[in-house]
Amino acid sequence: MPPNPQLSKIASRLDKAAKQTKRKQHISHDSDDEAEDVVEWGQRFDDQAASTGTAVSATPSARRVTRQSGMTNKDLYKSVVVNGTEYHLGQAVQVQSSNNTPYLAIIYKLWESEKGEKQMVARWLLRQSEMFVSKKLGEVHAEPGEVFYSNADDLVTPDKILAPLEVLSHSAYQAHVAATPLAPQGKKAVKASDANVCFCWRYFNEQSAFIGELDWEDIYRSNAGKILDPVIDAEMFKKQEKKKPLGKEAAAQAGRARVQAKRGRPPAASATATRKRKTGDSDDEDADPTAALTSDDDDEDVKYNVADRDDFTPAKRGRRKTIAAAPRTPARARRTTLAKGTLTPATATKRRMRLQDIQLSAAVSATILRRTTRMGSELQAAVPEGATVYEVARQRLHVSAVPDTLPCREDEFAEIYGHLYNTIEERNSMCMYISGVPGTGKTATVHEVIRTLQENAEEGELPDFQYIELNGMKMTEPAQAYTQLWQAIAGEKATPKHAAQLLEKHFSTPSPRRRTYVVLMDELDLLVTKSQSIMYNFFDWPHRPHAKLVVVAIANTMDLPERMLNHKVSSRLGLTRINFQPYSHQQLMTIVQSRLEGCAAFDADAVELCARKISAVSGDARRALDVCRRAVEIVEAESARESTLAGGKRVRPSEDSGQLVTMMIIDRAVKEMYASGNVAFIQNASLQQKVFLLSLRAAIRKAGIPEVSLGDVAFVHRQLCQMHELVIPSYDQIAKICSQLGATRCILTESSILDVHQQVRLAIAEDDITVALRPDPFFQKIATS
Amino acid sequence: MPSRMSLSGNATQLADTSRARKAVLGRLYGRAPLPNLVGLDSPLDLVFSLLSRTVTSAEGNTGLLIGPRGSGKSAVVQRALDMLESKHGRGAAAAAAAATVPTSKYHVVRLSGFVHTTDRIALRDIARQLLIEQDLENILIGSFADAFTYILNLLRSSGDGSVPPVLFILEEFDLLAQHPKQSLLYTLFDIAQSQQTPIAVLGVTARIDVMDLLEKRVKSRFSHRQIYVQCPQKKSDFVEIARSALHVDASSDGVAKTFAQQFNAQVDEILAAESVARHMAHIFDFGKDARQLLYLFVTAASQLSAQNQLLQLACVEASIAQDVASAKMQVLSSVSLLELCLIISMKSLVQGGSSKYNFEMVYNEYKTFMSRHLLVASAGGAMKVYKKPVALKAFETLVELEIVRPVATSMAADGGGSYGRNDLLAGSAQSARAPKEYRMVQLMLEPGQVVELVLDRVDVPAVIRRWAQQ
Repeated sequence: MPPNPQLSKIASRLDKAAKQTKRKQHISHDSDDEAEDVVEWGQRFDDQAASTGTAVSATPSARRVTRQSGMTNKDLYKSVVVNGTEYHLGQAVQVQSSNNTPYLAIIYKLWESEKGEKQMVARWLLRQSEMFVSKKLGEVHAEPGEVFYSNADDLVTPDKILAPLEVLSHSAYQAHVAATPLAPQGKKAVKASDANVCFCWRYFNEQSAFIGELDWEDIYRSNAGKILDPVIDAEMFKKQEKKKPLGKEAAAQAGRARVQAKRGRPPAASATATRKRKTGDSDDEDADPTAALTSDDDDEDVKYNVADRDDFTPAKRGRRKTIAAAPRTPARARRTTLAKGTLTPATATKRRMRLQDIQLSAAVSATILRRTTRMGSELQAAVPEGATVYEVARQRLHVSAVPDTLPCREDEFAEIYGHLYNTIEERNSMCMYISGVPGTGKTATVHEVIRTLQENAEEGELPDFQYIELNGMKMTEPAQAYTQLWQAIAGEKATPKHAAQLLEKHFSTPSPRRRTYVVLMDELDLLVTKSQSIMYNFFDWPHRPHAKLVVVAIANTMDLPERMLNHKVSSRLGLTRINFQPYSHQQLMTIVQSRLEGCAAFDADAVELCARKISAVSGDARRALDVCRRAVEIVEAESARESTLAGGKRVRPSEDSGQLVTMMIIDRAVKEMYASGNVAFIQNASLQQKVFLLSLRAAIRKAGIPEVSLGDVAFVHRQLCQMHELVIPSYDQIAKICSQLGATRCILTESSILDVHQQVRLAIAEDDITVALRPDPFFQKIATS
Repeated sequence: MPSRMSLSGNATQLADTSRARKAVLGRLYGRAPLPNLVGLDSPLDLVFSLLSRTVTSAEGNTGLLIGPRGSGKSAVVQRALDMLESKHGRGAAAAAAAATVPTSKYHVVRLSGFVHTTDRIALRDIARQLLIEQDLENILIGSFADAFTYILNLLRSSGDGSVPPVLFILEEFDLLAQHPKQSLLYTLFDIAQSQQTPIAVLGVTARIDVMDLLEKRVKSRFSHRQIYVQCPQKKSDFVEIARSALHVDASSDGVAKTFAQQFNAQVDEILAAESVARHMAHIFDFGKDARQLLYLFVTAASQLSAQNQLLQLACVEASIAQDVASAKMQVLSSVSLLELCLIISMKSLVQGGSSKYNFEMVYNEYKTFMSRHLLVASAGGAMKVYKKPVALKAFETLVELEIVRPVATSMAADGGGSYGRNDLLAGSAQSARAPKEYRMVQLMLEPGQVVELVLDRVDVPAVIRRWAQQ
């Protein structure tokens, strides 16, 4: 088992991914502090309540939204008047949507941006149809009128608010239905009242796809009907709900630690803390620091740990209330002491990063290990009984046998995985550009990343996302990218133009029913149009605040953005670029050997020779595999021939001890693949064709330009034939020779209708002719004459 | 001929003759494969193992078969497919089913760059050849890859859930590679190197630089398996090809044994005849083109009848004579004296250094020569300077024969465009502006050919003969 070198290798390579997180954390801390400043009145916004409420919570997602809008100094308000109706913070409302059923939301925050635009953060109330529940939870049954309180926030402009909404608890709702005069008949009446009244008794955590119960009256009504209690809120949507243990102990631990680290663990956090958490201890460091920062309580938050997260029941209600009402000063004090007491912030961050690195890589390497063992067993299983060693080798060396994990691409895997993981987890958007020459595993690596992420999502570690693959090569025209994307998103067909409009609308309007889309654009260079509008759009959408779109672009050339794209496009593409270097010979060797494990068909030196030869030319893994496969075929054919010979003589009945693939055979296979056919072709050509090539060469040399007319060549040709006592061909025959050679593209000719006036030039190197004809004494004589 | 006498009048002999004729002609025209391939064993082995591995072990394979025209590429492919058919085909399928080989069924799809000029046509034909009888109009709207996946899915659903191996034979591969974006090739190669569908893609082409035509990502997906087919190295092999095509076999061609013996003896006799052997050596020296060799015997074979029950040497010699003769010279052997004079004056213009010229220049040259010589040799008799309109008419005849062609303005620019239209006569837009006397033309003959032409004719006055030889 080689996990340790692998592990440390990966750990050292994860810096880039970690840096990104680091940056984000800095920003988020800033906005944290400022979130507590509340400024008063706006023009149309009426701050009517007494401005005591500083109850602006800062859950991770809310912070994200704030950051996205690019605000630092914002004015917060308590209520807003839309069309004469006043809406307060924390009030449930109906929000305009793209179809007839309005979205439901709670006003979470109101402010005016620097530009004077009125902004609102809406926290969505999800209908059942709007939730993306992972398979793990199975079917969720909801009654009509039920909504789920979620932690999905979005930036919405207040003018989208349509009408107020009344949210009741389950019992109150039933009472309400009963009280409604139309009610007795049942369902129809319920539906009629559905529009403005609904009930809620469960919440849905989007990040972890977890559904839990809550008491609506308690958390909503009891809090003066204004806003949700941030403490409960923060706790409810902590990400600890994972009940399902991961496959491996290490992976489970690391995965949890990763989540913890990403959320900004306090500096004192350490591996021991993690271990304690695993055992279920109620740990001092365990509570979410964000909750500690903003919930303004002191000791009680300690008790919010993993253990009681799952039983969020009315029984604990009483205590929660006291928490909410608790004095808030000590929390800050505690935080500061904590920070001061242990480490300076800079070192703290560094330490945190390192911690994260190791743990992230532990998770990755655990996954990789799990996968390789699985792959090995799959391969073994796929081999039919009684197959010879050659057949096994051939099968494994086939390009189609792409392993689940690509060897020698751990770096790139970790980097892409890190970026995508962070983005999806934070429900953010990004662009990524991946380049590399063909056959370096770009697409395979991205596929692997997506597979891993999908597994994560199924385990509930990540929010659900949709993966869409577009391939420039598989479209009739670039604009089809719109159609395909829209079809993947909405499941309906549209013309490219219409689809572009729909997508534009889709990505720029907020919506609760939005999961993250991961779009892979393979063969990007084929989507380049004259106006580059397609690429512009694809790279612009992720920059919209509501998009939740991850675009991964793959192309062959490293400098495509600079070379082919407008600045406005390449600027949107961003700086997240990953280049896949061609494989070095060691890497190629590892790749071939990993496939040949347990299959002794190859000499060790042979693999190395192959790797060196291929890496010297292209570094294309497909080529290396093809060469090896061809070599196996050669050996197989030879040993079969030998065994039939031996079989005839009854000397060597078994061929199990057959030959290995040696360096000689690799050399032969490489030559076979890369040899240009030119020399062999000339040697195989007919007498007069050879004379023609020599005459053409002579005519070109004489003329001093690379193109001569057929008449000139024919003249030289006839002269040569005369001198060396060959049959003198007629002009027609020479024209025929010319067209024969032209058909093989040994020479380039014009249309033969031009006859003697057509221009002829050599398409092969002059040296090829010399080399090919050197062994022949007759042509040696002609060439020197 | 004694043998003919003994054979005539017998009904079964007649049937034998017509059967032999059919069999031989079929082989000469390439409709039926030759009974044995001469000197093509190694490419045949490679192609067969490539295709059979796709059929038996369901692996995707790609390869290219490269060789000059007439070297037997298609014959190799056909032979490999026949071998595959006899091993895994319908007949063997029943036996194989018992031996638990599920992949005994396979499909062959043949595409040709000459026929399938666009991806869409190719797609439609793929569907047709895979026996998918469904309305394809809907799926043809999408891209090639989508439609192709759709077809493969149909294939999958029609079978037992797995796609049977499909062998793609792409003739004139170079033309297919010139489709925009090469999406046909990309899709095929991409599927060949993925696991779900076992397909083999075998390209057949005459171009030795075909690899350079492939776009880099298409190239990367191609396995670089290049199989070269070479023309026969030895003259004896070349003769062997003709022999195997002409010989009839008593069992496979369904003729009587005695007749077959006689027929084959006659064939050997013809092949050994001095004139035929010399011409075959000639073809070998010039092009090694097997097809050209076989066509030599077509006339003789098609004249097999009750009277001529065996191949006739005379017929073969006649077609040899035709083969040797130059069509252009034959056409020119009957031009009038005036036309010949115009040709000669064009030749002297060329020798004077001008590469293109118009009618005025040619007529001028003609007139100066005539006036010079008519003064000297009045004994010429029939020699007479024709007037310009008459000469123009003669000139137009030459243009019609395409011995004289207008100079295309962008001749070198697109070295293969269609110069089919003769715009001096047609008056196309390009050169219509100038009056036809002033349009620039070129003579399609080399000076040497003009001399040959004049020397071949007997009715040319000595003066003109001398002029041509200057």
